[in-house]
Amino acid sequence: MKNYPIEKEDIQGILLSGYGKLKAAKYVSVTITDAKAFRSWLAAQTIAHGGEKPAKQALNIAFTAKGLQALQVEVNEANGFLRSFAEGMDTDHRNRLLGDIGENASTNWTWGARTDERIHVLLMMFAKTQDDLNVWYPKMAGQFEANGMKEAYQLPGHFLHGFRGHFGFLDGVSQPLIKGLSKKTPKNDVVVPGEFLIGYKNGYNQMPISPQLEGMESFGRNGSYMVFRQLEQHVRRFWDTMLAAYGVDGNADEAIKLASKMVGRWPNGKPLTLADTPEDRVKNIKDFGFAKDDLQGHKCPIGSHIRRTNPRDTKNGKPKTSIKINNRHRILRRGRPYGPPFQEHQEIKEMLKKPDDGQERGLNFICFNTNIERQFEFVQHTWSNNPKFEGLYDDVDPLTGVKESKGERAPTTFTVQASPVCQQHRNLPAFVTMKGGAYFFMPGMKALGYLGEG
Amino acid sequence: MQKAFNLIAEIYPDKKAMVEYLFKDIQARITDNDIIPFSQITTIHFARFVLLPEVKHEDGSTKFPPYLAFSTNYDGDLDNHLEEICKVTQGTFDQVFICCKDFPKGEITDIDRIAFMKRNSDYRAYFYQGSYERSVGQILEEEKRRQIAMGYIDTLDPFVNHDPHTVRDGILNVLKEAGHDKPYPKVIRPTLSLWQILQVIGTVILILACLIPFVLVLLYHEIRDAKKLQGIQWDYSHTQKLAQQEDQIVQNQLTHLVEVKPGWFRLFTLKMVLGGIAWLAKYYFNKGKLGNIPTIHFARWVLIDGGKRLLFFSNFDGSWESYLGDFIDKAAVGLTGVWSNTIGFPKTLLLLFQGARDEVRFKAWARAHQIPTQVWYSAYKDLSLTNINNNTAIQEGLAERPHGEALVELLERY
Ligand code: HEM
Repeated sequence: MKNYPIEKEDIQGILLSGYGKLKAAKYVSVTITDAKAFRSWLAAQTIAHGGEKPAKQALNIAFTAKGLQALQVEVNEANGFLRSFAEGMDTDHRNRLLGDIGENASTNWTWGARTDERIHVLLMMFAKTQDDLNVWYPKMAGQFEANGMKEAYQLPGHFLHGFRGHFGFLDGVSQPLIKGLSKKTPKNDVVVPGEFLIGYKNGYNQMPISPQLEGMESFGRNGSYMVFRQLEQHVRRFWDTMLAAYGVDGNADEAIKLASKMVGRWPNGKPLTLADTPEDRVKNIKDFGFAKDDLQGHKCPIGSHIRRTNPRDTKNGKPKTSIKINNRHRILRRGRPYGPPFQEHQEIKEMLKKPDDGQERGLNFICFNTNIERQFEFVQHTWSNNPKFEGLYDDVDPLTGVKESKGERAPTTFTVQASPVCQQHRNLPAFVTMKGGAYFFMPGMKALGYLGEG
Repeated sequence: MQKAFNLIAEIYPDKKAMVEYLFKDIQARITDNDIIPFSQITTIHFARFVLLPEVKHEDGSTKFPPYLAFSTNYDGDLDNHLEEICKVTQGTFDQVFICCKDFPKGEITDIDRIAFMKRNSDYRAYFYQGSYERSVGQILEEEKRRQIAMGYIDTLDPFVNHDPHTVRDGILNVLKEAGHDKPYPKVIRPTLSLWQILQVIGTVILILACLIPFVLVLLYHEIRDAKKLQGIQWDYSHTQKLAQQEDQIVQNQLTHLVEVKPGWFRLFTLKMVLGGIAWLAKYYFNKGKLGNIPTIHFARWVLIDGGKRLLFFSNFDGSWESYLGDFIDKAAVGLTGVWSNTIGFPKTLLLLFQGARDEVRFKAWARAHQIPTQVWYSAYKDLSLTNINNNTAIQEGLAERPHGEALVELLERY
């Protein structure tokens, strides 16, 4: 296969790397109060790009539609911006698509709702250690006032012990690989760059629609749309539900097994499709499909989180065509947990015994894509929130799905396929609550330069 | 028999606002409103009212007048269906129909109403049925049976291996006790008789014989049309208005209206393609998938204004985005074959190629010619087409009393 010449130096670093070595992060959203001052500040910043490997710290920047408007950029169809980005995450229709109803409703969000005029720019600060960040952040914040900015809201981000998520499951395992950048397998994960980077051909062998501005025709080039959703996780409630599922309170192994069925992987990351027990040996935990050995979902349930968010080879009869179609709905995940771990070492057996500590914790879900409607929103709506996914009747994604009933968020069902008959777990509560979010555009380096010039 | 009813009647332009107002009321209480309480009409699968807006020439004169479209997907024969509508609505329906120029004035009876409806519905519908030939009653009953069976399955101990025969008997028992065990006649899907096969072969030979001149004329048209194409034209505010109606339930609807490219050649080609699709829908796509798309309950194409415009109605599961995605990913050939004969469609090669595969341009075009549907009703809004077809497979399967692997396969459908 021909290599795509990807212009790494023109792409912001976070798009090409999760910065695994920069363990501490802070996401600071700011309001632009003086466009001119902000522009000259922006021009003077050192923004990390994809051609380097920052060892100590990295800064990346993204804008909401309101933020670009504050810089006199018109965000509309004539300028080639996506409708979803122009309208923002919080519209009546999108609330239904994304499940932002009931307790998830934007009226309860701490930031990003349609009425929130503050969220213009997101400064994504990554540093090697928390101490480094503690030194860096005050310096950064000290510049805001003099440079036409006002801090609106901030969120921390960090990795938990062993890269586990708050529920105790290994996170950040499966990821699309950008064709031309990575020579790694599995080949089913290799996706053309245009699905994540504007200016390259996408899954339909076409150029993604690209923002074009007067004075900079190629404003979109090497940019990407970024979805940010702050998702609170209810860890105690999650494990209580698993423990109570069979009415056999306290059976830790069964509880962990059921939770793993919901995720589609064991806590250590091994996929259920390849591993009947967490101890089974697996050659490559990323390289598998469902069509060949597990079409019925007897190993990895059809409605599990990983099978819904990436059905791999099961979408259309023939595995190969399925992969091709499926890969038009991939997202590049770059989120990190926030809040203290429920259990310091993310040891699930310990979590099961621990009383609730009343602390807020969750995932700052971040993903990149070039077509929000066809990628992120599709995954959330057509796959996670869809009660009818792949022939199911009434389930939604047990982790992140939202079941709607009369405009409210309703308890959910989870079906474990088995022979001769399935088992259904009913009346499951929500394990995740939406707290705030927005759609951003992350420009390429030259486009940032253009914004900086004014 | 499932059929498609289409009433399309010209309206008085000044009555438009009044009907729009009525439609808001109807939609707000779709099942039990006072004008047409849809849930009481047992023959309706899906129904919709759409106002087709007036289209003007550049000089301001009327190109196409405003119409009211009323469409249903119904069971049984037409007279019976229209009589049921009249019986349930008891004349309240006149409030809507008086906006139509052709609606009789003064004291009228159901005979006049039915005559009006028939007179204005003389259109050929090129029709696809995803729940091939099942009645509303059967669809609802089969879901009821699945739920009763699930109630029994729920009581089984999850830590025990169950014998499939015991499970089957348990299910049959609860269904019998509940009085929900009478089997429906098996769905009969038409097959081709020898005579029909010969006809098909004849048609294919005829098409092949005409292929070269046809392709030459087609290429001439396609090259000319491609030159006329403008850039991608999104209209976000129009799209937003349409999107605001969508995703209220797991199903959605689409009403799409576009002008056929002028000239006999395009109309002829379009009719041939639509005829082919309707034929395939009957003999081949009668198992729940159109092309490879398993989410379309009903779809129909109707040529109106003497073949000048193509109207498309569909009822499908999931979002617009996933529907259109399926179109491109799984049925691009068919839909390019149809809509490349209409204006503004993305550049197409040899009738079937390119076209809809130009994703963004195709989606923008689809939105541009989509019109809002003022009233939309579904008789089984909680069921996907896959559910419906699975329920029938269960119901028919149980009646056959299978053993061994076939039995296990059947039980895994629950
Ligand atoms: C708090 C909320 C969430 C939790 C706890 C969670 C947890 C997980 C876990 C444990 C995995 C498996 C490990 C891995 O492959 O990285 C995973 C995979 C994944 N998640 Fe989530 N997730 C959350 C939210 C979301 C959301 C909102 C989306 C998108 C709409 C999403 C999309 C994905 C995708 C695409 C994968 C990879 C699937 C694959 O390729 O196999 N997740 N998630």
